[in-house]
Amino acid sequence: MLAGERIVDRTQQSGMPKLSVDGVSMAFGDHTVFKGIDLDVQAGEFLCLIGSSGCGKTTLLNLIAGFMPPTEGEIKVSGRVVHGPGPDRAMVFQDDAVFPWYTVLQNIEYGLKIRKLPKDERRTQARELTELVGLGGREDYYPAQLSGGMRKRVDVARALSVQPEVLLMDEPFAALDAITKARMQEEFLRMWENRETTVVFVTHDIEEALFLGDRLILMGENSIVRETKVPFERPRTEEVRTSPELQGMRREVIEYNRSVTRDGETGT
Amino acid sequence: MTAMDNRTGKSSASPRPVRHQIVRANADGVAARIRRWILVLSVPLAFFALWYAVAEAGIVGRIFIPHPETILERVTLLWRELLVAVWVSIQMVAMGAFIGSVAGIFIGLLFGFSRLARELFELTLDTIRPVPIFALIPLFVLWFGIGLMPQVALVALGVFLILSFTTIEAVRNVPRIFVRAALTCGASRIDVYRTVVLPSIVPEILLGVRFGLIAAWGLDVAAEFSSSSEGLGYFMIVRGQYLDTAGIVLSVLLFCGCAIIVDRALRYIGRKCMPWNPRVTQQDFITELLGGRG
Ligand SMILES: Nc1ncnc2c1ncn2[C@@H]1O[C@H](COP(=O)(O)OP(=O)(O)OP(=O)(O)O)[C@@H](O)[C@H]1O
Ligand SMILES: [Mg+2]
Repeated sequence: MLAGERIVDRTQQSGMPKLSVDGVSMAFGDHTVFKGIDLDVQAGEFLCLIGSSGCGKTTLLNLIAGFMPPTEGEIKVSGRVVHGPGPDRAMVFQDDAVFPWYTVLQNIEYGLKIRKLPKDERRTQARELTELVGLGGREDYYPAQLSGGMRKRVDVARALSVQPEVLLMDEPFAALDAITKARMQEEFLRMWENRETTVVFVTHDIEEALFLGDRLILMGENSIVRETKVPFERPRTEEVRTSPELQGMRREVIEYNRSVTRDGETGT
Repeated sequence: MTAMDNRTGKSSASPRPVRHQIVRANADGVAARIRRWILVLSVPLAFFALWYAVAEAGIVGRIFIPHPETILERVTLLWRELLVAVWVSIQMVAMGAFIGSVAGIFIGLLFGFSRLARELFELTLDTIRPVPIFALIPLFVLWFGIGLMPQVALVALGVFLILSFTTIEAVRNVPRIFVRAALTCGASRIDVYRTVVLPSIVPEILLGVRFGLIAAWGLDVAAEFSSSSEGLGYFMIVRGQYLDTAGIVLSVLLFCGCAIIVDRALRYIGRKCMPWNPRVTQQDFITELLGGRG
């Protein structure tokens, strides 16, 4: 399918949402992280999640991934209630999660190996992904021999390789320099446009959120405080990033966030 | 600016950075290697020199501290017998340690994997672990008779208790995040064990095996003392009955030799098993600060 055809509003498709978060609350002991979160994500939608540090973004992703049950409420993927982790919801972690005992290539082909794909097939796919995240030539490096940003890219490639229905990404590009970051964002968009994966993307970078996402969710103290639709057409180009519309929206989100949070920062 | 000064060592205000000194001491090259070997050998050689001097001076009776030359005589006299004895002991230790390690690691992994296994056996194992295994020798002799069986069984039991315990602790220490990552890639419980738990517990397992072997040599000697007619431990007892201190010291030295070879071999295996681990791959001053490479 051509990327250019995808100007449908994916945030408002009829039918069952790909991912639905239903009245979910989470507390660790007597510390409530959030309460009564409701969120529907349509198939193929790119949802960005922002909010100040410690507001519970990672916790929400962990719940969707199924690492722990919510204290209240229910999470469904394609109508099935989430009871534990599975390859339909791959995750790019905020912390270092690349296996230190595997090389770059072994890490990237991990999910394919688990799925018992024949060796040459998974090698081909893994090599493609390695190129895609710009790590060609480093296939045999161990993670300890890579930079922090390179490790993050390995993690991204590993999550992509399993072709999940929902891809959960926790600040995947935060550790990258501006140029690599922009390149990764664009490459990632190209790929996503071709694959129709549903993405939940956590970031502190509002510009990144507006450039990548279809919808932007702002999390406040303990719930969702604002939802913004991102109107830019796809495929998105460099011009979108620097467009006055995007910059205007960015300012607006920051202003709004300032008005609802005490310190007025999103943690960036 | 200050950083520049530090690097070129030109700053007069700041003290000389630590890094320089360590890196230089650590530098490769013939001189550094010779220096290292001199240091490594100096302590054993000093011991030997002291021993030789004390023996030569004759301050202490020969029966307490035999002369090194007497020991050399024993070697030339008894080398066939010694070779056989050492070989027998090595076999006992190797067999016992292997069986014990494999069983211990297996049970440790099983405990990690299955709550049922933990509930069934954990209390029992925790209860028998502190029982002095040496105290079981008479029982083992009774059950397995004189010969190789009681020794192998004893060594295996000792090593098993250490390894099962080390393994379950190591499994509990596996970083959560890697398990999470594996699960989101579709790994089954078995896959998690194969691809995450096993690689991450390698350092602890090796530590356990090294501990296990220390115990194994001790158990082997103890078992040979009371239930054997071969092996280095038995040789030692016989020499003791002849009041042949030189023979006893010689046996001790041979045990030391075996133990150091096995221990170094395990360290080597460890390095080969963890080519990804910074403690093996990185030769920088941090590694130097943390016990050196290996
Ligand atoms: N395992 C845990 N036990 C107790 N409290 C936790 C646990 N995990 C997270 N929290 C708490 O939940 C809150 C939200 O944490 P979370 O990691 O979701 O924040 P975040 O929005 O991802 O922040 P950041 O942007 O800094 O990554 C924090 O106050 C944190 O202390
Ligand atoms: Mg977080």
